[in-house]
Amino acid sequence: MRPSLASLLERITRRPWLLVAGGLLIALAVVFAGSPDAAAHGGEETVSTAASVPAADCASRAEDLKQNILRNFPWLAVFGLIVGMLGGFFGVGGGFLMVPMLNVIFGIPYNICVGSDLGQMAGMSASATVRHMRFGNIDFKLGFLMIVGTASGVEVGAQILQVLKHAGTMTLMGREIHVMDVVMSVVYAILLVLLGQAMIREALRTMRREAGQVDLKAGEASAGGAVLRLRSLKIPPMVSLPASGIENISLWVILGIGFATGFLSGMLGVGGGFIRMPALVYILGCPTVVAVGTDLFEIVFSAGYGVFTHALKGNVDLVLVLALLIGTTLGAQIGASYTRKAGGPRVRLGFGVLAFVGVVFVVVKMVLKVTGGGG
Amino acid sequence: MEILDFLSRLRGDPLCDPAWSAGLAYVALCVGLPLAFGVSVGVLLKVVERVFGVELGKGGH
Repeated sequence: MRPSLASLLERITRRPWLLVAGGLLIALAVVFAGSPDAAAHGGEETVSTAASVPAADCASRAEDLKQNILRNFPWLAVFGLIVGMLGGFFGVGGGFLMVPMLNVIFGIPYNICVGSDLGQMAGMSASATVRHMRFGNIDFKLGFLMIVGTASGVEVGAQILQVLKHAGTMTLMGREIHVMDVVMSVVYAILLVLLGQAMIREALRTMRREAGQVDLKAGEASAGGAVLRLRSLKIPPMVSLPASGIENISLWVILGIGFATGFLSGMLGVGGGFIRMPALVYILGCPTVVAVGTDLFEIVFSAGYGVFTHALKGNVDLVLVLALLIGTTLGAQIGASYTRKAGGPRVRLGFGVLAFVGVVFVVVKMVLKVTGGGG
Repeated sequence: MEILDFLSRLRGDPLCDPAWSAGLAYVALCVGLPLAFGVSVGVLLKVVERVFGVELGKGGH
């Protein structure tokens, strides 16, 4: 990569609002300059869960959703394959792309996307556990303490999604749009922007450091200072984690990390590893090998509990879970085999760019809906 | 396809049926199907690695 392009990307990622504005501009351009045909058939309508929808209409839409998933089973498996390949290539679960893209491309309601994606994630994490037996590197004390926060977070996230599911519709630019679609699209756009810009900045920083072009001590010192302040919180009860070599840390820090990642899992259907891993290493000070094992332990639990609680709420579609499992299992293997051919920072750079592509999709879908293009 | 139809019907209609509650079979399959699938795939891949002496990609989770 040429340094000029790298510095341009770095400058852009310092201003995430510029990227959101850019995505909005692209979306508006698509809507107003695109063909009427594309606008008219820009996406399938999601099934409304509003209580105000007449019973016959509701039943008909629910049946449409079932038929939509059954009819698209092969395509959903192909979609799972592509996301699995990307996830395998970037070394992540891919939930952050899976959920919004299922909604954008297949018109599946967010609550079904989240519940079913957690099912897919439970299967993938079970497979990873069997294959790598990373449980040997788990700090069980840390894992079980964190589960308290994770379980609370998953449940709160799932309950918020449940409230959104029954929140009915709102009027935007004269069109009735489901509140859940609006809230989830906005939350996903923000999440993807934050994730993407963090990954791109980190990747570019690493690439420049490897090239010996920058002195990063000042930036690292300020980030390290914030982390140390969290680590040195003295709010009782304090616990020690001998397996991780941590002498003394506030239980609330551990619970807070668990809650934050659990909340993301329960509400958005993401694994949360992109927060948990750095938090375990930088905030708690776990050795990386212990962080990897404990992260897997947590994701098995959060996805397992997540799919259970979403099943109780009727948010899991088993056909969708099966299609995604078939695709992602194969895709993850293909993607992972290509990772070896690319350097670490470049892979993370691609990951960051991918997140911004996701933002554009989410924004375009929302704009199409608001303007009538999305049904 | 009959299996898919069965799986599709198992959820019932939580959106429109006010008296809907999750059935035991539905919840058990929601948790059990992915876990059984994942464990089977994990074991299968380990067997492939041992039999053919190759190292497959690790991937994400």
